[in-house]
Amino acid sequence: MPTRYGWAYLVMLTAMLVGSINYGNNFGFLLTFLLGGVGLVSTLHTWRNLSGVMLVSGKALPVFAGEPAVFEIVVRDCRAGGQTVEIGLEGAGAEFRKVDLHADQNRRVRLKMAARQRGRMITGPCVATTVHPLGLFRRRRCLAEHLECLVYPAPQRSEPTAFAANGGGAGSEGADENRSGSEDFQGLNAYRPGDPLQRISWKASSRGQGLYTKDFTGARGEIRILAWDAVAETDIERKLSILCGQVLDADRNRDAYGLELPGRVIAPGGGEAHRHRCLTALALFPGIESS
Amino acid sequence: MTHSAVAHIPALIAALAVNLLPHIGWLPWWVAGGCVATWAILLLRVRSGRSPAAPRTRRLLTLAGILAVLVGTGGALDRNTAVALLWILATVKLMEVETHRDVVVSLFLAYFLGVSVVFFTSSLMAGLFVPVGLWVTTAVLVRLHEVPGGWRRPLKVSARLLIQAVPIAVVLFVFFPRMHGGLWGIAAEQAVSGFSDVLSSGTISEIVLSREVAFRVEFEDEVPAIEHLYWRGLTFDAFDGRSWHRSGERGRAQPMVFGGRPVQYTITMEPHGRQWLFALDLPVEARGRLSVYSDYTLMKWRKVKQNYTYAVESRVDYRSAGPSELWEAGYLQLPARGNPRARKLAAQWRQQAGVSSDVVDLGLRFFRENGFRYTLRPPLLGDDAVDSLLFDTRQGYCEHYASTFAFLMRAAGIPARVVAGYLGAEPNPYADYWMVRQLHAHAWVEVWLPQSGWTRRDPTLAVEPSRILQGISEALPVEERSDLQPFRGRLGAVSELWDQLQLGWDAAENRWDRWVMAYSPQRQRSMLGRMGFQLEGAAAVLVLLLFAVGICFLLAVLYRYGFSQTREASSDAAQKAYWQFCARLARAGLVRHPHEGPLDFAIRIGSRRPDLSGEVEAIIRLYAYLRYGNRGGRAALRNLRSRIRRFRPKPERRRFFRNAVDV
Repeated sequence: MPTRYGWAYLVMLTAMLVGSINYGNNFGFLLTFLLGGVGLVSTLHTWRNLSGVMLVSGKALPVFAGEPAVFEIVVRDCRAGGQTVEIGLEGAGAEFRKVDLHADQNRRVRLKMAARQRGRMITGPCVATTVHPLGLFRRRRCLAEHLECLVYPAPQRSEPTAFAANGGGAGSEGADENRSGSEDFQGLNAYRPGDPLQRISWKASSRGQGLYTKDFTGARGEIRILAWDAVAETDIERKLSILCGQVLDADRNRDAYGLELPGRVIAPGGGEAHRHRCLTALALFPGIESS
Repeated sequence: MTHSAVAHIPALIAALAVNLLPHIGWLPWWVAGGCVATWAILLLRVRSGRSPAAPRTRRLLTLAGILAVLVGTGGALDRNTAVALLWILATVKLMEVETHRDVVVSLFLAYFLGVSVVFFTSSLMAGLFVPVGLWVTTAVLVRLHEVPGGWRRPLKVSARLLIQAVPIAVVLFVFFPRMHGGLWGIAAEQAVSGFSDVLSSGTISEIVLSREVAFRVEFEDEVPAIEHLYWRGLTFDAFDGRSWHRSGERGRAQPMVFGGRPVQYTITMEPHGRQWLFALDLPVEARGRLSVYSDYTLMKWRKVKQNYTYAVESRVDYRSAGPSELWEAGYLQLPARGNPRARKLAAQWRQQAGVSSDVVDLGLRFFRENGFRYTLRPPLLGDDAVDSLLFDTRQGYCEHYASTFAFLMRAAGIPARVVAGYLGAEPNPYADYWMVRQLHAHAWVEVWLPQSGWTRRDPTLAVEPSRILQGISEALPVEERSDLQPFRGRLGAVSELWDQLQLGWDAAENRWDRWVMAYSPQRQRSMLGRMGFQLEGAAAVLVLLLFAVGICFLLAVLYRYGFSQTREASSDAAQKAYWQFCARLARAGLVRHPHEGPLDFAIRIGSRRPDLSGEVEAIIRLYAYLRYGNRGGRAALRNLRSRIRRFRPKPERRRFFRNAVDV
């Protein structure tokens, strides 16, 4: 618990004490003991300072594997406040941040930790440490036993031809008003960067005519069913990654898409919540770490 | 680092400056001045945003500083040099501050320098001022770890730390074993006025001009009457025509018969750099390792360089028990020639009276009846000093009268010696001790009479009887009184107040001296004994010490945690209680989401941890009722608080390993 400055302080006090004994100087004794008392009392202060620090709420937005997970926590000092504490997550790759806690103020802190694997990431304890007031002792206190973050599989882009099922795939249930039975091909537009790759007319480009985008009428685009079986891969993780990529593409395209996984089927749909649902299903797909 | 390290430099300068003040009394002016100048320049540079100092400047200054100190102190390697060098070092270190570590090191240096004053002074003033320096230094250290802000909070925290440290310091001070016999520790040699071993015309009239305290007396029982307050210090037996010296011979002591009761008292002597000590006429026994010599003076083995306390028993009513040997030759010695008129006068008295005591009376009558004047500014005496005084000038101070009277007695065949010391004392209204000041300095004569042995006969009393009862300023002629108290006439009431303040301060300082500085091993043993600890040996005391510190610590801990939160407005309190509840759940692994409402939170917890759901639901419901229903009042709040206090969720057994780490 004592920091290195704490040890140095002790050495300084010992030197003063020895000097006082040597010269038999009572005044020296008095001052040495006063400083010693200050050191002792500061232990109590350091201890007590953290007693009022608490974690009010915390959340982490889902990230993709390989990205750093960002935990946003709200911390509060319900005592006198005005101290500087260090807050961080324990574990490899953890960083501690210095936070100034004023009295009666909720303070938002962002902590980062590398998310390596998909799934429900559980971190080590979130702790706060302080050396206030004198920097002689350090106290560590656990604010949260762990924090959680959902990690989606890392998306992997695949070839545009990999998705086969197009509209009317078997087992697509749930009529959706966004479904347009067949697209009406309207024509070709010059390719603009940002156009979805799957709309590029490859025939045209293979003929050497340049890049053109197919333009369709119809409201939102196609309905796609992203099926587990349709992915040409054997490794589970790679499959998940590919599916994840597909989901992201579909979402960017504003297509309606559904997900078919062994044991879980999500009806086609669109939007944020739908995307989250699909990605969550992919993230939590039982895999290596199943119990 | 909430401030950058360099931003702390002004604060460091403040800390060092406050710690420098008590040193000014002894530190060579160029060291102090150089340090202050360097700090001022540093301050300007830091304020204007420039870097503190180039490495070359630093090295140059270091060298210059060290050289200055060595040259100034003459190369002596003692405490003064060491501390002066430490000041230089601290100043240079200040210029090098770049990191957090540098700031802390500078502060530790400041602590050390602040405490090092104990080598140089032990006055109450220092005792009051050094803690102020420590307070400021501690405040700077606190500021290092605070949110950026002003000075108020660090100073407050620092003060709180110091005040809370006082009980621990007191306990440690009382119980920490004292090994040495020395009382006072080493202090700087202060020049104090006092007697030398030559008594000549003008000696005492010069001593008397100082109001400094020569020593302080505490009487155990009653204080003797004022006419008995003769404080004996030195005896002079060799006269060379102008001055009296001490030959070193004393003869043997004579048995005495005492009347009345013994007077017991303790004297604390201010340092005067000599070996003699003072005692009430006639000292009989001195406690400790002092002995009373045959001329009834006390000597210390080593010179009195710091305050020295000793206890004596004296008898004011004494006479010799019978005839005994006397070193007559010494006490009848006179120079071969000089002062013929005085010798003739003495021979006359010898013829007139038969008995020695009558001769003495004749002598005293002579002084009483011939218009002698008691004055601090007598005219200069001629070559035959005694004759001049007796027949021509007839003005002098106590040393003149003592000298001439002794001469006359010796010339009349009566052994005599001059005794120097003090007469009178001043009580301190704020404490129960008496102060004897330098202005009480006095010289008188002892004559040897067959019936009573060495008997005191003070010629000054014959000249000016009021001296003894009313003190010096009353005895002197009016125009000379201001010599003793130069400011009195001019300032009037203010000087009255000043006198009172000085007396009060003297009392306080005396207390400080006795309770803190003079805490010797004997004193410690007696104090601990009175508290009930009959222990011997340092080891036992150390154990006791640890025990005492432990108790203090425990008390402090209890104090810290025994205090509950302050009372607040109801809704705020409920909110705070709820936050505490969330914090406890967080520690158990259930973290509330930022905008998650309490009921949703409860549901979430219920699904995750069914074992907690019952209590959690109850608490949250109560909280919602208090907070949003805004009803319920104190009882409900107390209920909520106590439920939350009792709620201690355990984290669930971990089923997943932390999969954020590559195993």
